[in-house]
Amino acid sequence: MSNNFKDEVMTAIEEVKNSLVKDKEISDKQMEILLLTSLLEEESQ
Amino acid sequence: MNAEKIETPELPQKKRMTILQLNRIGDIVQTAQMVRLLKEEHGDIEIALVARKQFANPVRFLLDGLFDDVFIIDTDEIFRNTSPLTLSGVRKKLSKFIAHVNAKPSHVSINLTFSKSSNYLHSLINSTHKVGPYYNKQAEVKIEDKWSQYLYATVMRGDMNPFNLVDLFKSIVGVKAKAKNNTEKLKTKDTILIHPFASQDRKKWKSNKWTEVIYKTLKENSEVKIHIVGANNDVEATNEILTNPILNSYKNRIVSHVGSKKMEEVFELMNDKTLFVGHDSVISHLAATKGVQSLTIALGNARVLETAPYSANNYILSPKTKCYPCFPDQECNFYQCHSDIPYQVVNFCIDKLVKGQEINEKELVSEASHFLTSSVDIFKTEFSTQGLLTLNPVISSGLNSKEAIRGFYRLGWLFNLSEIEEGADFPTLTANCQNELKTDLSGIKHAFELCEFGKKYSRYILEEISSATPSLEQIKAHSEKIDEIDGLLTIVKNTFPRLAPIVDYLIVAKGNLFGNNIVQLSESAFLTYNEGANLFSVIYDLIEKTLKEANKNIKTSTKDLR
Repeated sequence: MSNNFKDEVMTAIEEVKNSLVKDKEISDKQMEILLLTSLLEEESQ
Repeated sequence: MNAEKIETPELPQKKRMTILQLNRIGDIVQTAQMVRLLKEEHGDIEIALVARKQFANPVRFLLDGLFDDVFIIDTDEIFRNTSPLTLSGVRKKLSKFIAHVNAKPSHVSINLTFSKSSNYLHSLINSTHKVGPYYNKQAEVKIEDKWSQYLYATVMRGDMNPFNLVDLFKSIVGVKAKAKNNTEKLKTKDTILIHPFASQDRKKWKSNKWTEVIYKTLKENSEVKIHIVGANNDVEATNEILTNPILNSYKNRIVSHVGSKKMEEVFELMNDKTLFVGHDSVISHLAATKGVQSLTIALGNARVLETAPYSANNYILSPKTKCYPCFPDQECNFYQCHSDIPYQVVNFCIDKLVKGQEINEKELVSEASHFLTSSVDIFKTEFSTQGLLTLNPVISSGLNSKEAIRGFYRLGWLFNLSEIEEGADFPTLTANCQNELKTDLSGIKHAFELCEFGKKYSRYILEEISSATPSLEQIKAHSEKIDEIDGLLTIVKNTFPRLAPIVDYLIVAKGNLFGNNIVQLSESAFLTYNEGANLFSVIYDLIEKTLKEANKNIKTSTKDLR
């Protein structure tokens, strides 16, 4: 997996974290990012 | 107004259910077994399945006729075939997949997987009701239904679950249809299908032990043929078995399909003249689906009742090893449980089942020595009057405290969560077990009292809120008391580990209280503590009555001696 892709994913997760810190509800788009990350995690196991 | 109008698809007329099962093939087959019973009861429901490609495709032949839609997540396609690999490219594919699943909204979605991915995916499923875990908009895991809370608290954290996984799936979904016992006479067998492999080393014997079993089976049963099945990565282990010189004169009666037959072809190989012999694996579940009798050897972390093939008249051998069943992450270099099941006992069982006979204790002890049978348990599967799978011990021996309390939990959970009363005889307990259960009684008393205190302080909060001048200070003080009670319940759990299932369940239930305001949450907390008090009280009664009965029997037998 390219480093660019990893960076993109990390940035997207940071955005989700930030909105949670600000007590904002997470959107479906952000939920998709979380799903994608967990699928990636499982793939690497 | 520039806002884009979003079209929400309407709910279909027919009731639609979407089931998420992202786990391995065995879990998919067990889900299919539950769905078959659901369809018997409600043939008019439209059912969709969401599963992973690598686990669902090998058993598509079972799924396609059963489910109205099968949605396959292909992570290879999403991650590896996206070129160039960019976040937007990957997200586009994932969004397309989710849109495809949501094209027909569901009345209910059910997550049977309990993994992070399936919980996120569950949140994205367009459904009116969600059963099983999902993430809410605050990214917190929510489990609202009782049986999923039970599964999460008990199955995921220990070995105290007294139910088969198919029955748990039935309870989560609310399937009432009862699985039935097979009343037909057992048939003689001319073929034995052996799957001597499993997903982990701890769950399977080494090749040499299987060689012994195969050699003795062929020697003692001249009419029988053996078919060995397995995956591509089992070819080497199969060769180790087949090239052993003791099998040289029997090669014409052994057929290896390892690495060459698809799951569907293996399924087709089995018929009512076949006996399946193997470890806990998908093939045993496929055999059960077809009504083929099986003899399963449970080792390592395979939990006997939880993963037993879901049909009647199957036999399961499990070791009496102290550390059995273990956990997958527990280190073990010795595998004592592997040697606690002697191959001679397996051969005795095979001989009986091939002849269409039952396995009984008397013959087992006289033909195989007591020395060989003392380290192994043998169970026969049967459905209870409530249509739930039970394991009946073939070798009568007193239960240890874990086994005994697991049986009490079965009655308690069924009564508490489904209002089902399942009859059971008083179990025979070992002397050690009686002492341990007596000790547990004091733990149960503490836990019961704590639940009663929990009820009291939840009620105080409600009373304070409904008073003319509610005091925030008072509410805070009562709430702190509740936190203290929860802390004390955890201490009780650590001191009396056999009480963990109820305490863990209460923790999960309290983490998923209903309501959006303090009144609703306090009411929900009251009901959860009440549930805990009821459960502890039922278990206390069952232990006390069983101990009294055991005591009565001791007195009667002492009288006989006089």
